[in-house]
Amino acid sequence: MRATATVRGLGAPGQAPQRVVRRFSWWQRATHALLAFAVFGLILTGMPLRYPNAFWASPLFVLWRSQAGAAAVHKVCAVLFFAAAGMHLVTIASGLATGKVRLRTLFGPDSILPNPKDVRDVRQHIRYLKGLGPRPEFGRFAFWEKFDYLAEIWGLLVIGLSGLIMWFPVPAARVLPGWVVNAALIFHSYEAILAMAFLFTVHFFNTHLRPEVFPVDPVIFTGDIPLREVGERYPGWYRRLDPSASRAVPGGKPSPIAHVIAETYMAVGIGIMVLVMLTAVVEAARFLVALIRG
Amino acid sequence: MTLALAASLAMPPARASASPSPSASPPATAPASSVPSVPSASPGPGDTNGCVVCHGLPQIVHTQSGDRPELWVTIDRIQASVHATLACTDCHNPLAATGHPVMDRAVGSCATCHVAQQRAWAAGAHGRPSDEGPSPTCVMCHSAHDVVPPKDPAFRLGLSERCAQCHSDIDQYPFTSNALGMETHLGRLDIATCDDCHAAHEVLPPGDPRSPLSLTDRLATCRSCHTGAPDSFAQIQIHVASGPLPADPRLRLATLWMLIILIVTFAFFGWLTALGIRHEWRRTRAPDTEGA
Repeated sequence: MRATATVRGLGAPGQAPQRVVRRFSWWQRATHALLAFAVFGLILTGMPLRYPNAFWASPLFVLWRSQAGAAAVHKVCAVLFFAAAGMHLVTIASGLATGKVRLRTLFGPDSILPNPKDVRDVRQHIRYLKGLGPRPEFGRFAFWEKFDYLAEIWGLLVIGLSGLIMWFPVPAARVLPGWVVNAALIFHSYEAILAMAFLFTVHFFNTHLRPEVFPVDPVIFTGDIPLREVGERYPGWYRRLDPSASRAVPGGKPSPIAHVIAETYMAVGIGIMVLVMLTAVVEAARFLVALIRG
Repeated sequence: MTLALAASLAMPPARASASPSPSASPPATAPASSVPSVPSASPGPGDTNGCVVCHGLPQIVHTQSGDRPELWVTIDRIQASVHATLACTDCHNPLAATGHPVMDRAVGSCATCHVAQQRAWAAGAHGRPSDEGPSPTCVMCHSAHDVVPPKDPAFRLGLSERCAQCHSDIDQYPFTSNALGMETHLGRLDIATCDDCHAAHEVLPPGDPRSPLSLTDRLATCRSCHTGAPDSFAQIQIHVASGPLPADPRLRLATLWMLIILIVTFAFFGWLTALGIRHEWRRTRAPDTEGA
């Protein structure tokens, strides 16, 4: 089952109807869109605040009018970030309320939560990439997608809590010892570097910039994944899929809004990625020059 | 007197009396471009007693004992300072009678008006003789001629650098290590800078019981901005030493933990991504080898 057809997730104009599966609800897609928007805002305001001497800092301060403007936008985006987390809590709560999410399914093969099979999948995937074995039978979410999800929760907790501590130091010091306020800055900045570098390298390369979907995997923006792709990418899920879960959509009807969002996000993300890499190169060069000069 | 200084001293009176439009007859001793401030070297509202006739010329800095840039004082600088209405001799009092004795009478002159500040200074560490170098007098922080009100943005934002001229060990504690430093570095005027916590004139080491940062007064100092701050607020470290690892063992552990997570995550996923790229490369280069 190889990706020989040219049909991508959204189909091309004039093509026959294809069967698709609903992978993300409109609420989940809105959550991802809001989260990505907030993260872009947080990065573009937080990085110049932390590294005001970097070459990209002053143009960004011009964009935000001043450092006070950058700090204000950072806090607005932090609220949006928490709002996205709240939207996800609503997803979980409504799933539990309607019975769509049950404890059994949470620990099942198509859950986004990791299970022992993921450890085996990691090993087998490495063997597959080395050409030593077959591709693992991924369930609804591959292990790196599960990692993205858990890293997001971890990141939200670390960066959100440390940010709140620094935003409200007086109430924080009422319940925490003073050194935790100092530690909050350390956690916040390292986690920001980790999250940013992870998003714009690992997440982008493994989820969006893969050759099969280059330059962007539209599923998280349109919500629908072609049944054929389910079979290729998530064979475990494909086997367990209820035949009634897929539906036919007329070919060549991509959602323009989803595409505008997807491509705008990709452009901003790649812009940041280029800046991150340029900074790394500049810093490495500076380090080498300092090393040579003694 | 060096020849240069003698020449520059000799020249200006002729110039001052020459005409109100100085550009008509530029002095032969100096290129016109090097004396841009001379046109304003006429007695202003603050009576400069003709001092700026000589001291407004850039050549005045060349002395027998080397260049002394502080000797060059233009009327523009005085006019821009908060002391625009004072005459030179209001501060340089002995000069009017004795000519040019070399003496630092700054404190005594300033105290003519600023009595309280002079007393506070004398009571603090800055007013005492020190092994570490000359004690700073008023002009070291406020400058002699470009005096501006301490609320002036330029003065507030530049204060930490002035302190660091002597307190160079502050370099070990970069501004990025604390929230206050980051904010003032980025131009926030409403954020505390050095003197807001360490006091402006009665500067004392934090170990001194009279310092606003003494263990008994520290919390009250925090509370002057952070109303209602609890006891633990005073434990927050403001000057955290730089370097990859902080000195505080708890902060060191926090940094190490985050570094390990960072390195492990990128080592694993970087390797996985590299394997993936190699796999794709092979697959696209030799499509026949892949099973159908």
